[in-house]
Amino acid sequence: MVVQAGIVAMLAALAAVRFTSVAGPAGLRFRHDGAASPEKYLVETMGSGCALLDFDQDGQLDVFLVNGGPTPAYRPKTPLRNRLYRGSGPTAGHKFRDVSDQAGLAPNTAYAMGAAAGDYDNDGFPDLYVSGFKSSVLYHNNRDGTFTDVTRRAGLENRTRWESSAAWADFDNDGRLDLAIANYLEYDYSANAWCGERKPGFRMYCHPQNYEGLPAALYRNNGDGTFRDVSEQAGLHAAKGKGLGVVAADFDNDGWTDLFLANDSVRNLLFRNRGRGPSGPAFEDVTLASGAGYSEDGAAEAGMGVDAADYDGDGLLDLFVTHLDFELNRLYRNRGGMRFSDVTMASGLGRTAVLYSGFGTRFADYDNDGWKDLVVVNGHVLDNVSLYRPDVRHAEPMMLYRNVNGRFQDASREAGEAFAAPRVGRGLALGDYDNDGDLDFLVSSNNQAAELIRNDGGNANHWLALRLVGRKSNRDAIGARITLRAGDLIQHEQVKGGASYLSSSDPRVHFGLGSHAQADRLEIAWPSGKRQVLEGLRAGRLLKIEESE
Amino acid sequence: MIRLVLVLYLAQQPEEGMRHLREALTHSEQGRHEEALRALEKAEKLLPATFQLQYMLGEAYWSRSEFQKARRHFEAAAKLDPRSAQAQFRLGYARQLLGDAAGARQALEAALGLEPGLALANLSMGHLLAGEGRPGDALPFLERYAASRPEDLEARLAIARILSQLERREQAIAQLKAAQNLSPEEKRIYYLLGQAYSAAGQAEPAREAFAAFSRLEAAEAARKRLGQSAPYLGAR
Repeated sequence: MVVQAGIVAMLAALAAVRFTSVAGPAGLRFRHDGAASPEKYLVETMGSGCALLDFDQDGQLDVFLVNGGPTPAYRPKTPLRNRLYRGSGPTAGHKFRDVSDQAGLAPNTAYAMGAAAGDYDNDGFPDLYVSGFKSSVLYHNNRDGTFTDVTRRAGLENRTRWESSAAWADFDNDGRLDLAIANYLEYDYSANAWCGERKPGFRMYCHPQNYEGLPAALYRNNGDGTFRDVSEQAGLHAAKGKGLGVVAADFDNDGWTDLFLANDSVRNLLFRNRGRGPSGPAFEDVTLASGAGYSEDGAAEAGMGVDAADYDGDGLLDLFVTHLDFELNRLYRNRGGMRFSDVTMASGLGRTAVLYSGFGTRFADYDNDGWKDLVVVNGHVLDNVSLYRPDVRHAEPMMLYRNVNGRFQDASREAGEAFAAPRVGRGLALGDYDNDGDLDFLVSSNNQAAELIRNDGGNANHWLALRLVGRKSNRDAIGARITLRAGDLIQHEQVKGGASYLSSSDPRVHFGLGSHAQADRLEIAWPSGKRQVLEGLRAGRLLKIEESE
Repeated sequence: MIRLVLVLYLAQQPEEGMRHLREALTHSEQGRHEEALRALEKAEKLLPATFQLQYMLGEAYWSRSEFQKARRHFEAAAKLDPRSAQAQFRLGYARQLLGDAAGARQALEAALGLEPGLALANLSMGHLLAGEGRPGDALPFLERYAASRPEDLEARLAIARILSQLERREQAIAQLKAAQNLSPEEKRIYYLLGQAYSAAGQAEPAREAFAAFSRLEAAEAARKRLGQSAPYLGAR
């Protein structure tokens, strides 16, 4: 009887989870400008990313939204700008205020793509890397509400590469965040081709197969505010890709952060971190044997966004990669020893989004039941795709998949209007912006308004959020592995670098605890090698945990 | 069979509607699918709803990748003639493609109930069950299909994938070797072989299979590069 009552209560709680779009009322009035032109430059299709970060360390998440930029066919009178919005607390209604001018963000001189927040100098305030098309910026956080462009001084100038997603992580476990960057492809406006039929309205953006790919880049943090390009020495030049998504995580639980890149139309890349070499991190390309480079039977697909999480509770991080229409979004189950199986069909994800093109994605336990669910933002790359594929639309709804004991169910229809609305979705960042104990979503769309999607009702179940602060380890604790036990519920999580598409999420680690009012045991394996155990942690709060001496 | 029934049916219909339908049949046979669809749409306005017309409309929309519309017409056709295994199969396949697994299973079960040997319905059911994480249940359907089409590479590959999932690796490798005889330049075979050998702990054959896969993939990429100006559409 007690069990039945518990189940009824849980079902009632789950039925109540709804998502509401609140950007406008919350003060986020940002519209992305994708520089669309008749020239159909490929860059126009990409959209730009977004970030949830607490740049002023006041405990309230702030929002950073990336904008496009000028192209030879598009020179807006008012230069396009990325925008920073400061979040406020409950007394101010969790509203956001545009503080871009005060923060010192400059107008975009080139097309901006992604955002990656990370405290590279361990001063306690997140810095910001903004990747872009042949121009990228590293903003140092001055700890007074302003940022300084330190790109040149840091040695991160980019004049030649099309950078997409970026990930901060400490790849050599020296206590400092390094920077991994997915590079897309070799492209120049002057060599733009005509693709599609030669009749009015039918010109299309060209497929990436028309261009050469690029290897990923790795910049090692020298510890003095500068970085050194160690891509080649680290082994990343062994393979070219067409990188759009990147996630840095420890897939074999050996204490060294590995690197996965989602590539567009060529195989993904999985680099196993073999530990510190003479000049920093040393990687081995294990893509082929890993099974995570291709679809189940060896087809390279249009990889866009990516995330890693332990969806099935076996202690190993699995991978999820989003793709274009008619290519399924793939779930790769980690079987240990850097071997993955494509379980897309068996997991229930299957063909549920076959007509959609997935971009930003995150595993997110939106209902706090202790199982990692999945969120995907969709939107085709071609503005005129319906001329070629009548069942496919440019703007598409988001998808929400509920994880029920390791199998996914499409929960999009029950998620509310915010999920159903069609959009040309690109970036997705995850975080509890209103600190109410459930995960909200920030979405950026190409040529459309950014959205803040509030989770209403996810906190009906218990939860616990952690903010890990490294001492010997990097201060953001990226690379930390966490095991949480609450009754019969055991969860494994990592503080990861990168993930999603062009976006950066709240670094706090969120655990749903279901009906458990406390976490019985929490074990943290810090990147430094130190292990820390905490017991009897009351649910319903954000816990700051500093690495023990 | 469907065509024969259609010809017989045409003889009994009003003149103008019949004319459109005849035109549609001719266009369809000559591969002019757009014209066939236009003629069918005209015929639909003039003729009563019949199985043949709905089925042909389903096929026409299918060929245009308009799967929602195709599904609706196959649904109508199946309703008009519940004894048509072919209509049930097409409906099941359309539902499967559109992500309606439960609806697909219902229609495929109906198709196989009417005609257990219907090869493509067996194949679809096998894929559907595999997709539901039931490889053991999927295998007999795929094997039934493969028995009727021993030269079908896709069936061999599907069976090999299922056997790998069931960790019957030696049998998977045997299927893949049979597939290799059918199509020695098919890169997927070598990828699956590499995975199977690798999972079985046979490093050297795995390395050889992956090397063959990489060689074939590079050749394919070079061919694609020659065909520049490809539009940005996902692979079907």
